[in-house]
Amino acid sequence: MGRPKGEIIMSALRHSPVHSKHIEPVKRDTAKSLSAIAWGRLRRNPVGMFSLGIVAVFLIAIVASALGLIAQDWDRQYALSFAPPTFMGSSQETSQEDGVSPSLPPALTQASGTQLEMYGLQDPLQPVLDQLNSHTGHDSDPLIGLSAETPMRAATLFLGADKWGRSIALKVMKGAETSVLVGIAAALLATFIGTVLGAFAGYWGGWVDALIEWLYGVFTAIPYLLLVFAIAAVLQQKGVFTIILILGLTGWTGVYRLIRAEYLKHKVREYVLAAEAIGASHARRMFVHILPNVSHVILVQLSQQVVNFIKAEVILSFLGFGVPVDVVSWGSILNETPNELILGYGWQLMTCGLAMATLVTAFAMLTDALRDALDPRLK
Amino acid sequence: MKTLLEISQLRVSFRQEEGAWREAVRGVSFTVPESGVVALVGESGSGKSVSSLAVMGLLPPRGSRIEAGSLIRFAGQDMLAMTPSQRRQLCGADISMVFQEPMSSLNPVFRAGDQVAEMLRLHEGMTRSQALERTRELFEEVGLPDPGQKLRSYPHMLSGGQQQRVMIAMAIACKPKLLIADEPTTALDVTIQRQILDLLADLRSRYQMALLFITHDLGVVSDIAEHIVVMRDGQVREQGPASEVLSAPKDAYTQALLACRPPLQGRPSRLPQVEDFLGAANGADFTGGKASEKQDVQTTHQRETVSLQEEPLSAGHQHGEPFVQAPLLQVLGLSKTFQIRQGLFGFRSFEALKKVTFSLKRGETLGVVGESGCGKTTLGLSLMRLQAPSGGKVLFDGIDLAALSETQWQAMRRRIQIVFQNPYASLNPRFTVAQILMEPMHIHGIGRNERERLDRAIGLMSQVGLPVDSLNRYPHEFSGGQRQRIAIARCLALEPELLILDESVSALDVSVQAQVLNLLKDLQSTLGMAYLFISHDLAVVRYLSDRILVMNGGEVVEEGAADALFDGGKHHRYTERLLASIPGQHLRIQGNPI
Repeated sequence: MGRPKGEIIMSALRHSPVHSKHIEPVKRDTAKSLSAIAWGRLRRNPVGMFSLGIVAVFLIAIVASALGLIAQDWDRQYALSFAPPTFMGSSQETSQEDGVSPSLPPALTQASGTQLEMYGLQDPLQPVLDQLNSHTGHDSDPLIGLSAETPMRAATLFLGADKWGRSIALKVMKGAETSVLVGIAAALLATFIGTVLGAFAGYWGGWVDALIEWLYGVFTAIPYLLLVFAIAAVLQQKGVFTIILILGLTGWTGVYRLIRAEYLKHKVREYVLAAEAIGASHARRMFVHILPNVSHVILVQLSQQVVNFIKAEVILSFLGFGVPVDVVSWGSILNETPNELILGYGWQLMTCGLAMATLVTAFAMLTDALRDALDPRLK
Repeated sequence: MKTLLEISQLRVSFRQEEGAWREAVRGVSFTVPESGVVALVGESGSGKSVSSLAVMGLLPPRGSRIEAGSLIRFAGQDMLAMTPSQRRQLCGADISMVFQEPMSSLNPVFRAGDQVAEMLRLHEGMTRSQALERTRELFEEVGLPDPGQKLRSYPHMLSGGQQQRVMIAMAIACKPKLLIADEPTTALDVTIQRQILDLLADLRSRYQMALLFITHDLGVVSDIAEHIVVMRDGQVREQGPASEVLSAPKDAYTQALLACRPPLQGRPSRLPQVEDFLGAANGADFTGGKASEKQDVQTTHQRETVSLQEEPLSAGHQHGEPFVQAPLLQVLGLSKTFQIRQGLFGFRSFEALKKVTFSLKRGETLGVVGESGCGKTTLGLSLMRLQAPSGGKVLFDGIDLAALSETQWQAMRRRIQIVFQNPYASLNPRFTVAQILMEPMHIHGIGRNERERLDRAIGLMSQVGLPVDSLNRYPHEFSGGQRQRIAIARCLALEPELLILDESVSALDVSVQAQVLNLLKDLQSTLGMAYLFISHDLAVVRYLSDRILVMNGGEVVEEGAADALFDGGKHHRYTERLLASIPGQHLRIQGNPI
C-alpha cells in the first residue's frame, strides 16, 4: 500500500463532503468566451467604435433604401438640370427670367445667346430651329429651354442635382445600396471560397494541397483586370449578380493564402492532436476545432474584402464593365462625372466621392480595430 | 565586498487591458556585490524576470512604468536618472544579459561570428578584422569546438548548447562587471545544462564579474549561487547566503519550494504541496488573479479509501511489487524513420526510433527518460497512431494496433489516451470546459443523453479536484496546473486503461507540478490505470515510475526498476552521464529535514 492506512483515513476525514463542497469559486461569476472578450476590447477602442458607428449608419441607410423607406423616388426630376447645392447658392437665379438655363456657365450662355461664327458654313437645321423657337416663343436653345419650362423644379437642391435634375443626395444613397450590396455579397462569396479551399489545402496537404495551389497559381498569374474581363465575357450579361460573381470568383486568392497558412499552423497544434486522440473525425477537427480558432482571420479578411470590393465595383462600373445603365451605383455615378467636370459641375463627384471615402475609410479603420480586438494572444 | 548593483524598493507596474495598472514587482530590494553570484528564485509570475529587465531598461516603454521611489544603482550611478543613450552605453559594456531561448535571441540571418563582433565594434570601437579575431578567442573561451568554423556558422547550424555559448560569448565580449542570466539553462537538456553552468562559474572567476542568475530551479541555484533571493508575487520572501537559505529556510514558501521537488533518495507516498506550508488562507493570498491551485484532490481521497477495499488487485499497489498479469502493452521492435528533404530533390532519412522493445503491465508506471531528440515523444505519438510507425509491432492487450481498421481503432482509442506537455496548447481555446469534457463522450457514445454526460463531466471535475461550478468557463480562465487537470479529466472521460503522459508536468511550476504528480498517483491507485510517463526530468520520472526506460538517439540504452537506477551502482555510460548532470545533487544529498 502506498501510504499508511491511518493517513488515508485522516485525509478522508479532513476532506469530508461538507468540507469539499467549500471549494473556492473561480474569480468571475460569468464565463467569458473569447468573442465576448474581443467585443469588450473593441468597445474600449474609441476609433473602432467611431468607425463602427459610421458603418452602422451607412448600413441602416442602405437597408432602409432597399426596403423602399427612403430614396424611393430618387428617379424623380426634382430640380433644374445641374441645379447647384443649396449651400453654394444660385447665382443664376436672376438669369432664369431670361429663359436661360440657370446652371449654364456664363461663357456657354453667351455662346448660346449669340450666333456662333460657323466659318462661313450654314447650319442645315437653322430653319427648323427658328421655326421651333417661334412656336415656343423663346429664342434660346430649345433643348435647354425645355427643362426651364417645368415650373415646379427647384433652382437649387440640398446637394445639387444631376443632368436630369435628380437629387444627388438621393441618387448617391440609392447608389450606395448597389455598391455596398455588391461589396458585401462579393466579399462573402470570396471569403467562403477562400476559406473552404484554404482549409482543405492546409489541413490535408499532399496532392489536395498541390491541386489547390495550382489553381491558386493560375488565378494569381493572370492580370487582375484581364481575368475580370474574361469572366465577364464568359458570363455574357451585365447585372449586379454578375458583378458579384466576377468579384467573388476572382477575389478569393488572398483569403485562401491566409487560411491555408493558418490551417497548416493549427493542424499540428496539441489541441488538434488531442482531438484526434479522443477520436474526433477529420471534418470535426477541420470545422469544429480549427475553424473557430481561425475565425478572427476570416472576420478581418471579410471586412477588408468588403472595402476592396466596394472599390472594385466602382472601378468596374467606371470602366463600363459594371452594373447596367438602368442601375445606379457609385461606379456609374462616377462614370458620369468626367463630362460634368468639363462643364464645371463638381457636386456630383464631390458628394459621391465623399460618401465613398467616408464608408471605405470607416470600414478600413473598423477592420484595423477588429484585428486588434480579435488578436488571440491571450495573456 | 563592495556593492555593484543595488536595487531598492523597486516597484514596476504593467497596464492591464482595462487601462488599470497592476503592480508586478512590489517593493523589491536586494544587492549584488562585486564578483558575487546572486540567484533570483521564484515561480512564474513572481516578478524575477521583470526585475532584471528593469535593470537592463528593457521593459516595454508603453504599458509599463517604474513607480516613484524605486532605486536602481549600478556602481554608484543612479540608473533610473540616466538618459537612454547613457543607459545604452552602460548596458552591453558594463552590464550584459543572456536570455532563456538561445535560438530566438540570435538573429537567424547573420553569422554567429558577426553578431558577436558587432558588440565589439560598437562598444570597443574595433575594426571588423580585429573584432573577428577577438570573437574567435571568445569562442575558444566559451568552449565552442572548432571556433574558426563556428565564426562563419549561422545560428540554425549550431545546437542549442552551442547557441547558448555564442550568447554567453556575446555577453562577456566587453568584459562586463555584471552578467544577468535569465533562465539560461531552462531550455537546454540536463547534460548541456551542466556544461553551461560549469562554463558560467568558470567565466565568472576568470573575468571577476558579478552574476545575477534568474531561475525557477532550486537545484541549479544550489550549484552556482552564493546568495539567494526568493521571490513570490513581486515580493522578496527570503534572502540570505545560499547555504543558509537552502539548508535552514526560514520562510514557509522557501521551505515549500524545497520540499515540492521529488527527491532523488527515497520515495515519499505523496509530495508536500505549497499549501501544506503556507496554510489555506495564506496560500490564497498569493495566487492573485487566477483561481488558486490549492484545492486538493479531496474526492479522490475518499474514493481511494473505498477502492482499496473493493479492488485490492488493481489499486494501491506497492512500487516495485512483482506483477503476475499478462502485459497490457507490448512494444516489439518499434521503429520510425522520418524522410527529411535535403536540397532540391534529395532525401535524408532520420531514424527517430530504432527497434524499441518493452512491455507494460496493468496498473504499472513505466517512465521513459531521455534528452531532446531521443525519440521519446515519437514513441508516445506512435503508440497513439498519431504517427505511423515504420516497423515493429505494438500489441495492446494482445491486439496488434497497426492491423486495426479505422473503426476498430476508434473503439480502441477509449482504452489508450494521451496527455500532452503544454496545457496552454492542448485545450481548444474556443471550447468551454463542459464542451471539452463532453466531446469524447459524444464521439464514443458514452452516456444516454446530455444530462447523463453532464453528470459524468461533473464527476470528472471533482475527480481531478476542480471546482464543479467552473464547467462553463473557458480554458484561458484557468491557471496552468488547472488546465492540465482539465486535460487529464478529458482523458478520464473515456476510462482508459493506459494513459500516456508526454512531458505532462514539464511546463508547470514546481509547486503546481507536485500537485499534479500527487493527483496522478491518486488517480492511478483509484482507477488502476497504467501510465507511460515520458519526461526529461529524472527526479520526476523516478518519483512516479515503477520501471524506467532510458533512451538515447532512438534506442533504449537501459531498462530497469526505478529505484535500482538510482542506487549508485554500475549503469550504462549514458545513464551515468544523465544522473551526474542532475543539478543540486549535494543539496539533495545533504537532505532536507522537511
